[in-house]
Amino acid sequence: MRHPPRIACLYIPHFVAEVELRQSVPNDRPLLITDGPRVLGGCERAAEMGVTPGDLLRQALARCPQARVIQGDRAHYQRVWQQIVETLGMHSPVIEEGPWGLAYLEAHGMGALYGSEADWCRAIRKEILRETSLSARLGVAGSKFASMIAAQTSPPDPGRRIIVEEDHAFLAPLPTNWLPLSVETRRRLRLLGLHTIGQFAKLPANTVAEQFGPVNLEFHRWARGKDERPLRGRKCEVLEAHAEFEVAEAREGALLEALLAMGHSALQELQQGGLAIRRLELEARLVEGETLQRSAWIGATPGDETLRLIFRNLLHTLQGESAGVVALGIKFVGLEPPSGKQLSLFAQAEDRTRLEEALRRLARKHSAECVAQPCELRPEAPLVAERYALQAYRL
Amino acid sequence: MTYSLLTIEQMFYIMSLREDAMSTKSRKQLLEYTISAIQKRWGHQAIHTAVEEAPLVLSTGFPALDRALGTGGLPRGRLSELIGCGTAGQGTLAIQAIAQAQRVGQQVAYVDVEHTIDLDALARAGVRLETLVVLRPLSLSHALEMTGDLVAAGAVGTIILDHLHDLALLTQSEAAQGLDRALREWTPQLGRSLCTMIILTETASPGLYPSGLALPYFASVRLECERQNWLRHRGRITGFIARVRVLKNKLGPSGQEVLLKIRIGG
Repeated sequence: MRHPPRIACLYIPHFVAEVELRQSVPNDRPLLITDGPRVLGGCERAAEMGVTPGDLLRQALARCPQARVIQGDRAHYQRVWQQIVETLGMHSPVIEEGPWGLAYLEAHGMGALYGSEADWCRAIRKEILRETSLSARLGVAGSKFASMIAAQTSPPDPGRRIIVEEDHAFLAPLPTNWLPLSVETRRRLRLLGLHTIGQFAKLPANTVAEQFGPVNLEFHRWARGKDERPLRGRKCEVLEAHAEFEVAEAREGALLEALLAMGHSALQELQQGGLAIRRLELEARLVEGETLQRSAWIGATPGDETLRLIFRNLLHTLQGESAGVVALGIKFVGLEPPSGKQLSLFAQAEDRTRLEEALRRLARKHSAECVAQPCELRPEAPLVAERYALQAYRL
Repeated sequence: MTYSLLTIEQMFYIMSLREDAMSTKSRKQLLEYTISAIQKRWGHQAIHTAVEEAPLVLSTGFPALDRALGTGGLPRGRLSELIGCGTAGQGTLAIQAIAQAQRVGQQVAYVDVEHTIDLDALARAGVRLETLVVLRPLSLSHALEMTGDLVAAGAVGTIILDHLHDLALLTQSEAAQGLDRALREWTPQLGRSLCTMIILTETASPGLYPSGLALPYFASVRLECERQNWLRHRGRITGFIARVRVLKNKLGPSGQEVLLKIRIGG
């Protein structure tokens, strides 16, 4: 059975200005950030005066003459945004990035994982505040449209968020301005006395198509709480490794060793990044000039033995195809933050890396013998002293 | 009027002068500027907004004790002290806390000050020994230094300091001063890394605790363990009843008492 969708929206209002304001000297003048002749963003007060991103600077200054203007740094804002997206990746398996300051997250099952959806939102908000000093608003609903409105209408007080149970009931009392309708459609709705999303939703679909054009049918569905746009996760990353042979190699053992060497280095990189693999692809360029491709699906990051087995199986499928291989390539595909169930494992991998770094420092500073690890000798031994022992920590 | 160039002292002066005349809005603005100035001068971590949130806790592994603490366990990011004399159950409480910490995916470090770690008891309590880090310092001051480094790294979820002996602390004033200094340093660092620190203190006799130590002031939770009765089965001692009293609890009610049944040797 398909579960009803739950989508969260993260919204950081006036993202660019907020990034600037967290570092700059407090000033009571409105802030405008420019990128060439146009406005990249502005603070809340500038927005209240009618300045919108994309305006020409002279237009913006005409609306907001007392504004303080600073030159924006796109690369810096992108870095901050990436940091936020990476943080979100720790809390949800699917993240869809919007423009700076807006992102959608898969929220299904997160309530069970964190205690409740409110606790989940609180954890995200707290972590973003800690990492970037930016205050995010969060809304959770059954669709992207409702969650976006929930996030934008959620109060800015710390720890507040809106959890929507029934999308259509939440949307009904809101004004139609929230729908991305054309100016003409809005004017006609006003003339017809339709001021709220609920009133618009009550119209029959064929009437909407007839009166306002079929292009508005989709917004009509959104008004009814039936926004079926799926979440589009981030593009999978691919990690590749290649090896070339000076002389065509046909021995299975040599090919296997070459693959394992490539695989181990790639896996080390993966473990440092705390990422999960979904598919392994093998590409072999044959002495005849032909290129063969094989692939295998992997549920979790494989260990040495599993990797050897997978490579051996893939090489078996190549046997008899050629007199030799001149180049080999492997790809680890689908490197995403692990899915919901694996979040704690993901966090553990990072914690473990940090701990090992700290222990290395301790061993250097004090003595390697002072950092120990218990090991099992004979757990069933009659004498307690023979069951377990301490050994120097393997760093 | 621009407040950005004023110092904090000047801002408070303006606030005091204009207290009556200022509107609520301008007071709010002035407060915001003051907060920004404090953050600019002392960093973002220097000032926080109070948010109503349930405290993060680490279960003790004994539901009755978790309930008695009122918050569901020992607080994370703070220091807890388990006090007891001889076989009173404080070691078992610490071991159970380790198992619970590992169960929720935390990294645990055990500072074995007196080299008396009971690996068998740890294994029996369900602690995953392969992921446990044991620090074996040469002395108490060395233990404090090593623990300080570990706390500063912020890489561990739970640290057990096993154990401090009250008489040793009383007779070695240098060690007591070192502990005082260390606790002062650790407290804010623990708060930042949300690390639970559990210090086991062994007293010479039940109910006695030396005065003049800094530990009771820095600990957010202090539990006193006392052995009540031995449990026997066919004449053999199989365990004991421990009475655990909440001496101090900054996050919940104190003064509660619970009786825990503690088994010896599995």
